[in-house]
Formats: sequence, C-alpha cells, structure tokens
Amino acid sequence: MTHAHRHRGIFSFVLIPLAVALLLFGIFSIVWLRSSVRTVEYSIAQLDNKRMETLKERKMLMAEKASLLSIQNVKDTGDGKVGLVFPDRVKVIYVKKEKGVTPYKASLVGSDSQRDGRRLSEP
Amino acid sequence: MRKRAIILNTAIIFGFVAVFLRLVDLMVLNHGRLSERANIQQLKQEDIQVRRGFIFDRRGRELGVNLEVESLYCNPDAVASPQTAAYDISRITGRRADAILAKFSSKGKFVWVERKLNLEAAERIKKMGIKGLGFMSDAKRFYPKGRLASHIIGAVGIDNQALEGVELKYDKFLKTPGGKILVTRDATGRTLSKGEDMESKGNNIVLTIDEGLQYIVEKGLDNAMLRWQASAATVIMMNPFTGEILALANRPAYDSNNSMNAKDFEKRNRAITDCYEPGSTFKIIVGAAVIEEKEVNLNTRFDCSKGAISVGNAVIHDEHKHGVLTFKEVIQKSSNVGSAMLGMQLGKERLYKYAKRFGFGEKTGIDLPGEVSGWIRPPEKWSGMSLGTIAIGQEVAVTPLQILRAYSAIANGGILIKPHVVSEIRSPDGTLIYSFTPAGNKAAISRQTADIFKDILKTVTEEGGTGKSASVEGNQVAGKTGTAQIIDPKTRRYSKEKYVSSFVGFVPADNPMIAMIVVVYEPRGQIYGGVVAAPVFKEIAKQSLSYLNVPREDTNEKNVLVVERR
Repeated sequence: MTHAHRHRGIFSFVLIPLAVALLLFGIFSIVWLRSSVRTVEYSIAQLDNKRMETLKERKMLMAEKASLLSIQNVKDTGDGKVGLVFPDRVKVIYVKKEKGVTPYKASLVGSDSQRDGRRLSEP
Repeated sequence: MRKRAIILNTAIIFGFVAVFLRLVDLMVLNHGRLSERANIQQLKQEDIQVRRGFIFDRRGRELGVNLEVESLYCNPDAVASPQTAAYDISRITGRRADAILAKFSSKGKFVWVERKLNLEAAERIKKMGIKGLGFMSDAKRFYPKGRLASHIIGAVGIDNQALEGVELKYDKFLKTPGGKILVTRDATGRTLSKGEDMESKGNNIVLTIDEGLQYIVEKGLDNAMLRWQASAATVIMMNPFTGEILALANRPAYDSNNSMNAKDFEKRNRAITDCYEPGSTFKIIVGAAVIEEKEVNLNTRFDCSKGAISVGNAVIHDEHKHGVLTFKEVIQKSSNVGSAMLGMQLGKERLYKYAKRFGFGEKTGIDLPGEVSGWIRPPEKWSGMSLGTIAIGQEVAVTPLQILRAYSAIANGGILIKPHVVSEIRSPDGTLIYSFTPAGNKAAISRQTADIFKDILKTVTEEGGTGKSASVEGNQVAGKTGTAQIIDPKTRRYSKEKYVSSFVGFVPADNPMIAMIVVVYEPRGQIYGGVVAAPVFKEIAKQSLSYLNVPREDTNEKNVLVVERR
C-alpha cells in the first residue's frame, strides 16, 4: 500500500503539472500562432496595397513613356532641339550583317565593278 | 471548514457548468445563426477591378493603354457643408462649383460627383476630409499617340464601353468579365490579405499598322488638306500580298482621348464607310478584263481622235483629243473615249463579271466596324449609256479600300486578298489566342494578265502618263490617277465645282512593298488626280520606303558606303 501511495504521489506531483503546463502551452501556442498569422495577414495586406499603388504608378509611367516615345514627339524633338533631318535616300548606307565575330570593315565604293552594295557584301 | 469547501466546490462546478452550457449554446445550438452574423461583419464583397487589354502596333508600341484613376462619389445626405465642399472640389477639378452643388442636392444615397480623377487630384480631395464623399478605383483608357490612327483604334466611353474602331470590333477580346471576391476585415474595418489578384485584364491586341508609317501618312494627309483646302481626305497603305493594313488615316479626324467631344463627321472612317464614284481608277476593270479575255493586245489601236463617243443617249468626252491610241496608251493617258470603246467591246455581262471578280459591290471583310459594300447594279438594270459610263468609273460607288484591294490584286499577281488590321490577339500572360490566317482569297485575274497590266500601270507614272508626279526617285511606281465629279444633292446632277481626286498605286512596281490610295475630296484650285493626289502619294511613298529600308533601284549610282565583315 505504501508503495502504491508513493506512485500516486509521483503521478500527482509530476505528471499533472506537466499535463497542465502542456495544455497551457498548447493553448498559448495556438493563440500565438493565430495572432502571428493575423499579423502576417495584415502585413501582406499592407504590401498588397503598396504593390497596387506601385502598379498604378508603373502604369502611369508606362503611359507617359509611350507618349514621350511617340514618333511625332521624337521627330518634333529631333527637328527642333537636336536639328536632325529625315535622311535623303541617296545617302542611306546599307549594311549587310554576316555571321561571325570579326570586326566590321568600312570602305567607300568607288569603282564601277563595285557599285552594287548588296552584291559586294555577299561572301 | 468542510462545509465551506463543499460550497466553494459546488460554486465552481456550477460556474463551469454555466460556461459549458453557454458554449454549447454558442457553438452548437446557435452556431449557424451566429456564424452568419460574424460573416456579415467580417467578410466584405469587393469588385475585382476590370481592365481592358492593351492595343499595340505591329512593332509592339503601345497605342491603347489604361491609366489608374479614381472616381469621386457622394452620399448627398451625409455631406456636411455642401457649399464649402463644392467650392473646394471645384478649385481642384476645374468644374463649376454650382454643378457640383447640384450633385450634392440630388436624391439618392449614391451620386457620382466627378469621374476619372487623376490620382493627384483625388489625393488632394481626400486630404480635405470632407464627410459624405467616397472614392472608387477606376481605369481610364488612354491613347498615348493622341489623334494618330484614331479611325483604326477607335475609342471607349466614360464607362469604358467600346464605341468605335478596333475597340468596338474586338470588344469581346479586350474586355473581361471581372467578378467579385470576398475579403476578410477586422473590427476596425481593415482588410486582411485577399491572397488573390484583385485585377482582371482583357486580352492584348497587336495591330498590323506601323506607328512610323501611320505618322508619315497622317503628316502627308495634313499637308494635302492644307495645300488643297479639301473638305476631306483619305489615305490607306496596305501590304499588297498579305492584306495587312500598314496605315489608314482620314481627315477630318479626332483625338481618341477626347472622343466624347468629337463630331460625327470627324469620327467617320471614310476609308470604309464612304462611297464615291471612282472615275478613272476604275478603268483597270475594263482594262484587265479585255486582256484576260484576249480581246486586245498592247498594240491594239483605238481611234480617239474625235475626243468624244456616243454611248446610248450620252456622249463621253476626253479632256482633250488624243488621236489614235494603242491599248497601252488608253490606260496611260486615261482616255475616257478609249475606255468606253473597251467597255463596248467587252459587253455588259463580262464587264459586270470582272467588276464582281475584283470585289466591287461587296464588303472587303476588313475587321473594322461600319464597312459598306459599295454599289454596282446588275447588267439587266443598266441603261443604254451604262456600258460606257461604268467603264470610265461612273454609275458605280466604291470605297477607297475596295479600289486599293483591286490594285493590290494587280500588284500580287492577280489574287484578291482580305484586308485586315489585327494580326494577333494574346492573353495577358502572352499566350497566343488568335492569329490572322489568310483564308478565302480568290484569283481575280491570271498572273499573266496581272503582270501585263502592271507594266501598263508603270507607264502612267512615266513621261507622258497622267501620274508623272507620283513617281519616286529611285523606285518605279505603278499606279493610276482618278478624277471624278461629285453629284450635287441639290440638283442631282454632276457638280462642275466639286470633284474627288485620287491616285492609287504600288511601289516598287516589280516587288511591291506597299500599295497605297490617296483620295482628296473637293480640292480647291485644282481637280485632277495627277495634280492633287499623285504628289501626296509621292511624298508619302518616298518617306515610307526610306522608313522601311527599301533600297533604291539605282543605289549603285553614287557614294554608297558598304560595310562588310572580313
């Protein structure tokens, strides 16, 4: 009987507090996890909003870029500020790209046999 | 002591039982009702923001995009001091304060105050903290190139509903159904992450037009309008082999960003919605038909020396007497008398058959709204003079696009192609949804006839031809001039003052890169297609060939810098 009492004493002294501690720890863990999830959800929502704002700004910038890059705008700027002119077709240079990594070599075509630029650039 | 312990224990047990029972009440008995109430408080239904797909040109340049804006609404009953609020808002939006005040006096709980405010203005109004006002995210269609290609791109209304052009024709691809999404919010109204994209975007459309060519065309058109003080003008540029519209412009035109204030005549896409009598540009029908039917050869001679010919009870005149002309010269010099003779030689049935083969009297099938079919009567309804007048391009009504398509058939070896403005449609993630594939193209004439006629059209822009001023240095142009009288609606007779001048052709003649028609309505000072429209063709063609890097056929002449790899 004395032996049995000792066992029960150990049970109530160690296991019950342990079980209670585990229970409390479990409850607090769940609460903590849920609150953390909620906090993260708030953070994500904030980031979502920031993302939306950034996307809005990006769209505005894209539209502005498209406006600025319109050919009319480029031409107006080129004509007015930079002094560019539309090329005369006589002075257009034809370049034929060949495969390979060797550098380009430029030459002015002078002789009659070398007049046709396209023919010359062929291998 | 024991008694007190029993009381305490009993109280604790009762307490726990009470809590347990309440929990059973909350979690079991009233669970459904309470969770529904919680959902109402915590869940909020939000609209997924719907955005139209973008429109690009053939090189991927943006022609139609969306701007993020905010629309301002109010609950008129909740606005505290309407007069002050109206004044403050008017300072920012530029709208009259009394107009805003009228909105605040409206009935109902929801009234739009100002649609599509830019974000900066919306932010300034928000900072005022006026009670009773609210903002809603919205999208505004924006066309970065303004007036450029407005008749192709079209426009949308205040609610982004399609109104014109590609926006209307391809609305079902550009728009998206959107929908609603449930979001969780806390007691203070803050929403938690939705975990989903709150924006739904329509498909993107890639057009066949090229912004560069479109700009060149529109500039040329503006110059022509200024030079000839015309009432209207149209230019269409097309790839004669594929039917891709490279540029299309009309004057008067409008800015797609401001379509609400545009007038109806500015919105009209004359290239496909307006008919006119083509005049001499229609002579290719009778010309191609007599070659195809082997009725004539290039040297068959026609006596046009009288300068006039009687057809039925009408007399058809030449502008001046030509003498005896070969078949080739009839087309080159655009002789009405010679063409009428060709028509009579061909006969009603065959002339009508070839007009239909070239697609006249039928829609071209271009993927733009509002196209008309033009008009040509069946032979049984022709009068005695119809054979002669139709041969010279009267008594028929055509659209500029129909004429251009007919000339493209000459350029490409006889095939009547289908013009189109959309090359492909892609989903927002880039997946190909639709790609134009040519189908149903028919042969109008044989390749041999097309080649013969192409050679004849080349002579039109050479010395002695009516379209000399359309010739481009370095590349041969094949084409035809047209000058047609307009019927005066008051007298129902041909006006002696109002004409339509046109030039249609393709360049380089032997390997055409572009086919183009220029139509100038009611020019002042001059009337002839060769004087009014041909120079416009030349100017646009010259710049377009340069833009497309089409080499001159005489580049071996001087100072060519050749760069080659060794």
